[in-house]
Amino acid sequence: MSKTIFVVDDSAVMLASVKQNLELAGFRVETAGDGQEAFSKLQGGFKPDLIITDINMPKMNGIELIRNTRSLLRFTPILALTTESQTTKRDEAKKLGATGWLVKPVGGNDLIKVVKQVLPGA
Amino acid sequence: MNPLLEQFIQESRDFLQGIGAKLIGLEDAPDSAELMTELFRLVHTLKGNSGLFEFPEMTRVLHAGEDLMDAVRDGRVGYSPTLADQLLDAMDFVALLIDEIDQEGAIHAEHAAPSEELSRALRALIPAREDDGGEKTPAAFSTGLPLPEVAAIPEERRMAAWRAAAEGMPLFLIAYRPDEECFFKGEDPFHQARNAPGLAWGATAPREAWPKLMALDCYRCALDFQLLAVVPREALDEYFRYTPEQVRVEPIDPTRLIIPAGHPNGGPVYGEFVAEALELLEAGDREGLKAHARALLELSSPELWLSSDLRWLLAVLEARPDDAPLQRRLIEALNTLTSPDLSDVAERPAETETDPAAGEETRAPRFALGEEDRARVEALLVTQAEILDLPDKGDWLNGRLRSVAATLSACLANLGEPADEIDEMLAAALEAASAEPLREWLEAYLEGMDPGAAEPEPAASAGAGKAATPSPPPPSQAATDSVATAPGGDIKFGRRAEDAMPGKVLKVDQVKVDRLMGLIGEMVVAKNSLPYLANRAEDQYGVRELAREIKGQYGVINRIAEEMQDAIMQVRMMPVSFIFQRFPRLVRDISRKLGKEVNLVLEGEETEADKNIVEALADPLIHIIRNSLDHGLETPEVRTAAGKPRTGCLLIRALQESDRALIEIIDDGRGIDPEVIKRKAYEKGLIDEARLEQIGDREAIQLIFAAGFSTAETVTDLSGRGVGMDVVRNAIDQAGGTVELSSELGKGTTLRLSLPLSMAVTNVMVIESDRQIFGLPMDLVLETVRLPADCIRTIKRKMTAVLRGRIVPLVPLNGLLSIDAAPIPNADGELAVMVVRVGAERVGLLVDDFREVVDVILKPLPGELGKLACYAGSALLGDGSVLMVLNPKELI
Amino acid sequence: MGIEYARNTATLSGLVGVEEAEGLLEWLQNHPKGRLDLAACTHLHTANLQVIMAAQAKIAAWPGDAELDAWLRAAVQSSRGE
Repeated sequence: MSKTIFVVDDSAVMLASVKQNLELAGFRVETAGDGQEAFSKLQGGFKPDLIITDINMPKMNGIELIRNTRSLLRFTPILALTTESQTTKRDEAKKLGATGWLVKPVGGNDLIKVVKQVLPGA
Repeated sequence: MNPLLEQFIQESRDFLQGIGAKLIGLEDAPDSAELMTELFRLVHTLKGNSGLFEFPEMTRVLHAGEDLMDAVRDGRVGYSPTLADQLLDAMDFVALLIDEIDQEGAIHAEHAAPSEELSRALRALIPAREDDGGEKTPAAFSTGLPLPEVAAIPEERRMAAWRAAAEGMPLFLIAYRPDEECFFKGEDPFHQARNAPGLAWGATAPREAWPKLMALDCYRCALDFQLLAVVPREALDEYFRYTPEQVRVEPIDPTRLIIPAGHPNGGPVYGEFVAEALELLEAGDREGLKAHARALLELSSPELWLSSDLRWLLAVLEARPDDAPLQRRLIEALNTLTSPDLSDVAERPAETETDPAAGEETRAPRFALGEEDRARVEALLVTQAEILDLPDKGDWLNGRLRSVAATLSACLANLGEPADEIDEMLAAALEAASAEPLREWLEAYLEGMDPGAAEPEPAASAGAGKAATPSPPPPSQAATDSVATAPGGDIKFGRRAEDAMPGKVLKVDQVKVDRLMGLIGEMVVAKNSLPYLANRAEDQYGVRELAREIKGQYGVINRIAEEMQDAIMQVRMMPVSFIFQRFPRLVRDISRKLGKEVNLVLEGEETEADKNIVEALADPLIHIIRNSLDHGLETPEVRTAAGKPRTGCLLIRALQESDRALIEIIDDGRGIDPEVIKRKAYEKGLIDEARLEQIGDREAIQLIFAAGFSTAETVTDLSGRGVGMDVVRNAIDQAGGTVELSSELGKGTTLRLSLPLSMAVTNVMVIESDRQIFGLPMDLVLETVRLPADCIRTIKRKMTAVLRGRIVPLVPLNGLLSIDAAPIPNADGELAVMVVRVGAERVGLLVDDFREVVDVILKPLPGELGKLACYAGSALLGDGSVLMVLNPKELI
Repeated sequence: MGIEYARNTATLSGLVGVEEAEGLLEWLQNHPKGRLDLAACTHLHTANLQVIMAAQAKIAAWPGDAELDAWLRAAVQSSRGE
């Protein structure tokens, strides 16, 4: 059974690139364009095996999304996708329940390597 | 390197400089909220920027620093020198990482461990917040984790790991204690442990005894993991990068895995086996030994200790057939049935890895010469032979022989051949006062060489120096190399933190400015040809009008060229604060180490000089400051006893005086005792007895600048590194500067460095003597006068004249240059006297005639000629001729 | 994939996720003599692992996955204080 990964980013290009890489590696991918949209999906009962979220997004940013997600999905691994990546943001994300982080732009191999590290059975 | 990273590196250096300055500023004003806020901002921004580039090693340290600053800012921690020390250390580390990024574009994984340590040390200074409730112990955590017991690892796992390690893979023991809350971060430590790179063995155990099952909180991680991995360290650091504080990784020697274990059973039966096995080992019969061991192993129960030992023996015979000591220990262990002590046969894989490379490096020739360079060196040898063929002339001979020998040694070194014989030949030649021994040797050497390659170039003798320049200069020539390379090149005084030049101040690529500088220099020289042209137009072609017009145009071009030159100089100018800003830290570190109290005062930091000059000043100044703190300033006790204030004062002042930059280093320390200096100089053989008697105090203290004065007696951790003040003076000399020293015993010492603001163009006066022209730097020329012969008096066989009420000694230039001709008076019977400044003295040089004053680009004499101290260098004149520029300081 | 509870045996198969731990703990609290069949299990989340260790559960069948088998045998042993 292939794992489902939820990718959240306000950049369509970034979404497309991550989605393609993950799908090539055999994952199912769902996407959302901002934190609000993502959170709504999760509230609607969507239960991905892994969430990869951008930090700087309109409406609801990644930090808030992580905080909010933890009230719904206690154990789901979450990777923060950071570009400008103030490490403060990473640490903040980690403190709020993120499992780790990825630095944009993420190459295919790095992405899959990290996903396999945090997602048992992947 | 991508532009963003470049910018980051440059910016980071600025930030680090700023952080250092603020930290030291805080020492004086620990309560300054403004400094603290600024410091926090700098650390914070630097940390943020480092995050851009995924430099976790740097970010981690900076983050800890930021947290610490945050705590200080909030008043949770008081500012203290210890804290400043810790932070400065951390910033040094960050500077090191920046350098590495600059050079290699990345940070080595090996910095992960020190980065952890430093951030732990920083965090250790932060008290736990009250709301932390002391529940977590983030500081000093991972190093305290207990490592796995090697003996508890099953034998087959150990053996497999040992085999892999025997092939050169690094081996690590890992302890991993996940955060109790980690499940709520999506972590699965068991998964993490199972999938660790290079995993050879792993186990898990509860941290504490299990509670009653009813009380168990299954979502609070209570397990510790222990791993054995055979993998490069970087892979582990990378793998655990999200939780480095929860992991302890320690390298272990593979030999530690060799622990035979099992039921201790057996007896004298095996005595025979041991004896036979040892015989086979002695005989080098590995196959026989293997068969022998296998045979016994088959007969023995696998649970026995002896079977385990035999299995190890077989494994070692397979993987390390040549490690006889290890094999012997394992065989002998069968006598006692106890684990052999293998600590002394332990291998160190890291060393064996690096050894071959290091060996190769030492074997490699110092310089690999191309065909062309080789031919040039050989041409130089031929030239030396010609020099040796010149007729001997008394006084000159020794110097010439030495110079030839030095050239020969350098050539041979470049050709990768031993030069021992040359020293012998030189000694023989000096003793015989004849060039013969050297000449014979050289002839024999040249005959032995490939005749084609030995063919001298057409211009070999005239361009001997020129020919030598393209090949890498032998060490002896390095000192005469252009000043631009000197600052970073041959003078190195101290620790890394002091050596590192802060970031570029010029935001334009320096190469471009240098190119402009070179071009304007050429332009200045080229424009100088116009007056010649005007003269020719008038004298040769008789067109006076044209000559006047050329002169008019020359005036215009001259003005523009000078302005242009000035403008370019301005671009290259930088404030001395570039080097001064490092001094507070330097002084602080050294004085703390020496237990002295020093108040450092910096003045005139905005004074500007050419970049090369400023850079050339850095190392000498650092050395002077060290000397001052080490030898000059006294300890607080001594000072108090002498009735001085406890805290010593070190004043470093820069100012501009016409076209010179002056730097004064003034301390109020114990001063220099001329008697001590005299005695020491005499003991060192720097002065003879007669001179010891005569020498005045003022003159005596100048002896500290003499080469070889720096003594073992004065060597300390700080200033004594085998470099003395002579190195300082040489460095300043090379930059075209002077050093003056004055000192009053008990009151203090003052060093005055005077440097040109720029070193590109020199104003030179051209003079004529014995139908040759020479140049004299204008800054040394005080005046030119024409003296009627009857104004010259002879006192004690020395010529003197009274000029402006002072007696000035007169010296014929011809005499100084060993030219056998008297000065030629002009038609009115007057002699041309050029009054020059030599140190504090005035000397009148008798020459034949004065010529014009020109701007030239002074080039140091190349190669061996550079050792002729009486010349400051050579310059190309507008008409294409070469002007030798004299150095009166050495000449007189 | 997960845990199937029968009268006296819980069968863990495939990948046993973190959320199963609560149920497993409860079952073991209520079935002190319950036995675990791990034969088809390929991985279990740390939370499950520590429940099994803390409960010193009887193992009816060890995992078929050799690596997991080694980890579990050692873990259960250490928890029994052996």
